[in-house]
Amino acid sequence: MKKVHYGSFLYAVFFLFLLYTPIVVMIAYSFNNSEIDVGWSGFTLKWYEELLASSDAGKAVINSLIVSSFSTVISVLLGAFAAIGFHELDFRGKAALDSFFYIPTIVPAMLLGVSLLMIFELLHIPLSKATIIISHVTFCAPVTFNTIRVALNGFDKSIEEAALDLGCTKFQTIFKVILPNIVPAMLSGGLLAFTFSLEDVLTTFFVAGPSDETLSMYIFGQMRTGMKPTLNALSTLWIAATVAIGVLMQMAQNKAAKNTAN
Amino acid sequence: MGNMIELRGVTKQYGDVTVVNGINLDVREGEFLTFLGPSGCGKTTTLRMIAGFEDVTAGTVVINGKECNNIPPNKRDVNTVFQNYALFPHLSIRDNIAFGLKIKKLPKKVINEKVDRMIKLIKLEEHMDKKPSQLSGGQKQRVAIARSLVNEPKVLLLDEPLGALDLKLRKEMQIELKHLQKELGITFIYVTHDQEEALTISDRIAIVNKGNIEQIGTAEEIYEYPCTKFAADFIGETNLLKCKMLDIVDKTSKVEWQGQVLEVYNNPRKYLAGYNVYLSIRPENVHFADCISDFNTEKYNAIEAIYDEEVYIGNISRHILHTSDGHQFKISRFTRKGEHFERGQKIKICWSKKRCVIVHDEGGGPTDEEA
Repeated sequence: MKKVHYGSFLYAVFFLFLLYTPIVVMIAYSFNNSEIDVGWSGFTLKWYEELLASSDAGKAVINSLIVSSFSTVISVLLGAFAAIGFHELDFRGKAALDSFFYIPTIVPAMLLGVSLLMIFELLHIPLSKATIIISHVTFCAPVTFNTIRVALNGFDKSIEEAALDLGCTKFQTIFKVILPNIVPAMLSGGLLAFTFSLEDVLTTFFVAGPSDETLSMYIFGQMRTGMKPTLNALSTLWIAATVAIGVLMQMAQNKAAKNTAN
Repeated sequence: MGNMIELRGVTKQYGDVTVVNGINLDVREGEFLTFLGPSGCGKTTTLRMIAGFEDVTAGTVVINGKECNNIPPNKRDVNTVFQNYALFPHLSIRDNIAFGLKIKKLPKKVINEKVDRMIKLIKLEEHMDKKPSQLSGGQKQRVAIARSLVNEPKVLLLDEPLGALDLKLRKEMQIELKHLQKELGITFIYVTHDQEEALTISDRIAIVNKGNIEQIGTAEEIYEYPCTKFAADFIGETNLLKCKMLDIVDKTSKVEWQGQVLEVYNNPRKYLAGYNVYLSIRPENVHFADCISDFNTEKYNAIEAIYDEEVYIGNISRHILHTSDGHQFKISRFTRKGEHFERGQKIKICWSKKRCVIVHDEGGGPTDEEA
């Protein structure tokens, strides 16, 4: 094994320290008996109990799950068929359209929220979970589209030709050959979209109805009245869930890589 | 037996570029025909036009008596084996092979019987539940062939199917393919750039160059009687002397090379006097005049050449010389003990007048008539 230089080891430690200290501190304090964030005063689970007893937090979690699930499913479907269309067809302005698909992901979330709110007002659409979902799809669909697009770019065109050759119509080729092969990309794109949707607070803030507080909005709201240990508990649970999603995503990608390495 | 495939003036253009230039070709039923040519010569494009993946710019493709220009690939009686196998990565070997039959909605029992028979034929019984990514290149290739053959196509099109395999496996598969084709009696159209492969497996070879078929014939016909400079050079090795056509007396064609008259007995094609032609002489047909006991200018053409070097390759030695016009000239002959030549030495070399062929360059020499 190559010998690691002393300096680079220190650098790595420093880097990881910067990355993970806040998270580790937050997780530790979610089990801290003291209500004020000053020092360690013993282990407790009471903040978790308090959190679970709070109906507001529970409602926020449910709202978030509803919003994120719907926006993920819609984004994956939109993204998949858009990506397949892009893969199959050649048309004028394809390159220009392609770059248009990226723009919603780089527009600042706040501006997106303001502009969406304006549109909803103009069209007299009352703010609700539906408007949150529509808003989330605007920045999640490009994510799924691009993930699936990349997978399709690596997909050997002659496999589609083989399907045609063996008697498939164009339509059958899409459903019997292309779709099954982009399932892993749909999954990983979907999980990415799900996390994007779950953590969004800025856009959501503008387009949510009064009773549609999502989890990220709830946490944001709680912060205004000062840091509470229940928030640490909530954040810890959230991190656990996100890590689980991340692991799932990695597994999906590995599977995709294995399939295309044929 | 009739023609399975007829190409009439088939042309493919991409913009201003002509890739295939008015090809005419008949492929007989049950024949193993190979398109042989360098990469970019249009052989794969021609195959893809037969399969239906490419539209023809002009001309007609007739498959089994039916004009197919506007028939999509899924409705044609042909199946293709792709260069990179193109197996479906998400399906098992079994399901890959059954794919075409399932699309045709055949009864399950029939599908199973046919697939079983195919898997047995390609000897992959113990691998049938694996995914393509778990197979070796040779195995994948067999699956690709089986996946096509199970549909009992009228014609199987193979696009450099063995290109990705190593030499030893490739040679084995060549023999296997040949046997398979004879056994099933299906018409095969095979594309390759490997002349040895083409000679090994084909009934007939079509030499393709720059979008044209330069010559069609059996391996022997093309090797012994090439009709173009390209065909002579592409199949095997040859020496080419740039000559001018003089005239034909009885069965002897006369050409002029470097002020010297060379004669060819019974040339298959008759060229008009004055045309630029090439004389093609295979290295194994050239001799050192001194080594021939009955040497006479009645039977042999003889020229002077300057010796360069010998390359020893076991039982055969290759002697490299050059002619007075500076062109390399190769002789290959059985290695004889004690035979030695000096670099720069002038040597009289000769070849039989029956063992050389007059050929033309592209567009360089219209043939008068076929002999």
